[in-house]
Amino acid sequence: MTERRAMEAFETRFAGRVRAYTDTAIERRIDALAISRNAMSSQGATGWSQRRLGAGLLGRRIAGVRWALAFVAVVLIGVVGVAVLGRPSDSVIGPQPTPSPAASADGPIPEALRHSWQRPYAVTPGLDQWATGFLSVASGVMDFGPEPGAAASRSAIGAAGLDTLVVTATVETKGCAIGDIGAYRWSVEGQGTVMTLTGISADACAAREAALAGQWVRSDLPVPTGGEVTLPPGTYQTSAFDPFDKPGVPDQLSYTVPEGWKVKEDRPATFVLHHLPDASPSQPSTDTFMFVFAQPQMAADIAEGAVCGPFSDAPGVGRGVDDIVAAIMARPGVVSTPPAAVTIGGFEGQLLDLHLAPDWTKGCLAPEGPIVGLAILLGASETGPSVGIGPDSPLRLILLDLTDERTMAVAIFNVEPSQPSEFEKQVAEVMPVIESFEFHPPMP
Amino acid sequence: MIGSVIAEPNTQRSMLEHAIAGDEVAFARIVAAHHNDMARIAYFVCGDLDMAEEAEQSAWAVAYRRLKDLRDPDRLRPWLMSVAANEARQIARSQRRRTVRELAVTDPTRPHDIDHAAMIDLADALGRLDPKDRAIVGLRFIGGFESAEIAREMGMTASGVRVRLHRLLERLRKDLGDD
Repeated sequence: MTERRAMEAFETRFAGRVRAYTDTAIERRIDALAISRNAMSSQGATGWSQRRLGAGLLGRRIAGVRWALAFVAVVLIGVVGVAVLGRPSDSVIGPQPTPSPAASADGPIPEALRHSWQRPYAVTPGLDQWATGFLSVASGVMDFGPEPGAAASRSAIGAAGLDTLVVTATVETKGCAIGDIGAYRWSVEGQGTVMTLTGISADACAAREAALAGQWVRSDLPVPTGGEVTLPPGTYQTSAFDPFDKPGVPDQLSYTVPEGWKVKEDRPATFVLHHLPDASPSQPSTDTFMFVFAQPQMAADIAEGAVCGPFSDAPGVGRGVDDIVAAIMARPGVVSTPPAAVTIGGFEGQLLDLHLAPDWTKGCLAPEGPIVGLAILLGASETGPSVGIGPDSPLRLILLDLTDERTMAVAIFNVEPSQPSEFEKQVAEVMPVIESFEFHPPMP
Repeated sequence: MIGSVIAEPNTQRSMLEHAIAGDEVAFARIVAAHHNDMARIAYFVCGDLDMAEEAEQSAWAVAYRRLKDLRDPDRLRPWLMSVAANEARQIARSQRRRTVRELAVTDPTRPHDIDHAAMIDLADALGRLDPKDRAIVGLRFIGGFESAEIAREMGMTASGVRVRLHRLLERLRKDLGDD
């Protein structure tokens, strides 16, 4: 072997030794943002004591950190001031960048963000194909993953300015390395129920940006049990309602409501929203109800003189949309508009407006006396609520074909008799809520 | 669109511009991207983990101060590594009695490919070199830079680096018993 080749071989071996020798220097975890802040805060200082100031950021706590933080704050106020005023700096590399609002990121996380949030949609490409996304924001940490308690990624977070979060990955996940940093502008709408995160420049972890950016819905709102829960305007998800027959799987239906709505019931077979109009106490009640039935049944005819409810299902009527529509159209005493095709949340169905025939006099016997009317639909449970029609009590019915085996019904009705014009107004208020439906079928 | 700042390509130039403008997140991204190189070269020159950490931290402060003077973004990596090497040299000089004798204790349960004794030999061999020479060797074997790049960062001529590297490698080869 020539001397030259021998030296080349040595250099190859030596390079491997050098790498192994210096591996120990990169084993410690670093906080890149803290190092960045410290470097920025160290401007102008010289000498050994200044070096010691920052030493701990690479692995240990340091003496004098309070002084350092105060100094950081002063420097950052200057930086933010430049960002707000848009003053150019003296960079010599190309044009001036847009000042980032993430210049300071050590503020407390606003209370409005410190909640559990959920995505109603599959939005996490790159971090596995989650049916929904779950995001938990606490004072200094953010977890996000496919479901509560199964955090797939964790980032340290700090607030910068009034509307910016800076996130730093603290665990390695698919697509994210420890220390990856991103900055997001946040906003909260609907009285705190909907949060929107918007990336500011590119997140070092693109998968995290794909997972975080966009709208999130509060998932830690109280679940209604017996009483009603008032909903601030916003987008919500059902918790127990089970239209796809997957018991125990929450969030199968999301909906958006404006002001004035309450959740009256959220059960596997029935989901009920109640709208409270601005009416004076002297006026007749015009409360509007939206009943949503999973797997509804056609109610049986009421026998003459029978006690009102509970009603039984009509024998021989199937649970498909066409079965129920045909049975309603054929029922004596029911006046219906022709079935109109509708698509709600991607599922097709039929819409009917029903009212009682003017000459219909039959009904059932309630404690306060006879009630003229007809029961139309029952929920999956015979002991659950039902909907029907009466004199001046019309009903809008939407039947949706969810799958080969599953049907869902949405009914709009008024508890008290109302004028047709009043009911039309109520329907106009409720339909946008129905049209906002998004279905989230559980994964098989 | 709520955000008023449109996402930009995550280029080195863009990060540099934002960092120069005072964006600590942009500078943190540079830190995250170059920490390993900085840590390796600092340790290679100091031979001591504590001093290397200190040197790296000091180097980031120096780098931030001088970032606006870096006219060619493509030079960022060699420039940063030379800053770290220089800080490590200064710290090693000021604590000469501690230089290049410490070898991190390794976990005996952890498998490693390189013989631990070989690492001690390397530390000893490096300890016999001047810190500036260790910086030159480190830039060559950690950074992978050519003589011309090393020369530019170290304020030398390319031929001077070539000659010095050759001599240093001859010496290391002999000291490591690899001749």
